[in-house]
Amino acid sequence: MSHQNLKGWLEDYAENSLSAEMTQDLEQHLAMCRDCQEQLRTIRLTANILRASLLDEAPAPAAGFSRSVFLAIEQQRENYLFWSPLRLVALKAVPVMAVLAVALGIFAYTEISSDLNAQQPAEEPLLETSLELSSKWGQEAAVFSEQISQDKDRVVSTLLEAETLPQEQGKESK
Amino acid sequence: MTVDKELLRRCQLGDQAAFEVLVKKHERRVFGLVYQMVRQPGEVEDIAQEVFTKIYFSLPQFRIEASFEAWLYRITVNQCYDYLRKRKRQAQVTESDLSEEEAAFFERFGSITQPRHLDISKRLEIRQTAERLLSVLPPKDRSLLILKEMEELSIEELTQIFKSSASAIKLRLFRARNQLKAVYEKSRKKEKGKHRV
Repeated sequence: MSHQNLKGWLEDYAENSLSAEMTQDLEQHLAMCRDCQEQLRTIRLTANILRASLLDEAPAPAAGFSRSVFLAIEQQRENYLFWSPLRLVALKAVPVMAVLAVALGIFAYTEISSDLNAQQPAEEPLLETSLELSSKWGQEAAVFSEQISQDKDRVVSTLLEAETLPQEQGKESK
Repeated sequence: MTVDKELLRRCQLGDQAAFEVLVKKHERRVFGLVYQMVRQPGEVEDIAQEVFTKIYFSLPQFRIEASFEAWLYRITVNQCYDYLRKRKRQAQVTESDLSEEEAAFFERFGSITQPRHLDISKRLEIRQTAERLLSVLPPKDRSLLILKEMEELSIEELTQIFKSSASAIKLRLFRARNQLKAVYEKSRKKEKGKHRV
């Protein structure tokens, strides 16, 4: 157990609310920790100062104190009855405002979502067009590459013909 | 259901006799706490009266299952804050001289020193010194220490009154105690210095 944790137990130790096991742990720590010893001394010293500040007795309530409370209640009742509905309205207004704020938030969210959904169909043709275009370009590219391949074959065959023709003409002349 | 809960239920239904019983049951506790907080004997009754009037008008909103004691303490402490704020009470003496005898009393009070063995003038002197030392604390810290040490409330009960966590209460207690001890040590040093001269 760390020093800081044990130091946090000192208030409980001073009020005797620690378990036996915790008390034992803390007392072992107290035996060797000057900081905790000093803090425990502070707790006891301040408790003593407080007790000493009340060496005199607090004034006792007079026999008719409860009667004077009722008189004060009667004097304040009118004032209270005037302000009470307003206070209740104010107390009720807070949750109502909170509910309204949440409802407004949900409404705004759904509105924005539906707006976004409404915009999506406009994007779909664009997507379709781009897909069509890419497929068209793909087909054109395939046709073009086939043409190139055909042209290449044609050139190769022409070249071969050009090479073989003089040889054949020489044989014939022999 | 405890007696207080039953009493409170009756009070909530507008039973004035029940409210009178409630006042009589708790008036001494309220008087004691108010006096510890404001230290003005002439003001205690008026403040306590305000506390019970507030309780009377707030009872319909009080939840029976909550702790009445914590609620009573909270209203009393808040009423005392209001009074102290209106009076704008400032720390009157931050550095008081502390005799060795008084220091020994504060160090050992509750163990070997019995206050009843002191004569009246000595008791008054010690009380006034303690009061001067305590006057450096802000009302909130002072009320926390009073409830902890004089009313002997547990950390758990203090969390309900101040609506704070146990660790926050412990931290506030730690700071308040160390602030009070610092003033105490300063007063002791001052007195010792005076003797050396």
